[in-house]
Amino acid sequence: MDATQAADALGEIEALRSATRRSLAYRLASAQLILWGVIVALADVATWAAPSLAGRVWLALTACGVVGSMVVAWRLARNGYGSSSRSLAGFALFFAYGAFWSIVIGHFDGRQMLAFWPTLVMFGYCLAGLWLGRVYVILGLSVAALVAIGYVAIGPAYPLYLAVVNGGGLVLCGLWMRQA
Amino acid sequence: MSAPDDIVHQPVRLRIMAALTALQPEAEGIDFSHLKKLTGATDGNLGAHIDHLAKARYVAVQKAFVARRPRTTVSATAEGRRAFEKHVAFLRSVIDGAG
Repeated sequence: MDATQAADALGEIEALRSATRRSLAYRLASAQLILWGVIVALADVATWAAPSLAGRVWLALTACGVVGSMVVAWRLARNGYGSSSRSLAGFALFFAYGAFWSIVIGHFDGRQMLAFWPTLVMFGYCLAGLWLGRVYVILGLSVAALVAIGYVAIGPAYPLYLAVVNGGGLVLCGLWMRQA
Repeated sequence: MSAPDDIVHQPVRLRIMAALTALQPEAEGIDFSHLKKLTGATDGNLGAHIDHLAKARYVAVQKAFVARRPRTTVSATAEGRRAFEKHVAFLRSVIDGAG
């Protein structure tokens, strides 16, 4: 074996290792996206169908999502992608920040809440994308833009619109990442 | 200069080991269809090379049923990781020796 062949083999090894890490991280994270996509779609539909129950439905479904996310974060950490305690701390900080501004300071109404939380979460996806891959940045910017457009343009059907663009967007992105 | 590892040296087996050793040792491994996609090998070819690596105890193969479908998961053993690292060291020594 000469030096050129050895360099080619090392190059192929590095490329394959990078592709493997990215592919596996996407597959594991896709579960997170699909889970939250289904949760927000269900909660948005419930908000539209029974506005008086919206608060309780969101709380219950969010609790399910947090438990599911912890399981996914644990699996990611077990496979060498970050630390589950750091992921948990990240979630907690985002929820605390969102709750502080939307409830304590802002006293947002239902429609503002519906727009605020997805854009905050999508901001988080954009940030995460700087480390995890540009698909997160594209997802974050696209969904945030659609949420903002709907806030201005859509009337009482806004929760249903969000179920499609926010919930559906997360599920579609998760399905794409699963086969990436 | 160290010697090449005859088992790892073969191109498909080199790709298999490169993919498997990209994971942490405690990771769950990679399922067969995912490994096929990553390495670009065919079903039969990949199966034969995994058998070869398993006989050398470089990889561990686990078969299970998930949602009533068979699922084969492959992971690198400690021995396989050592052999792969030695082979990578050999490749580096070839480049260094030529420099």
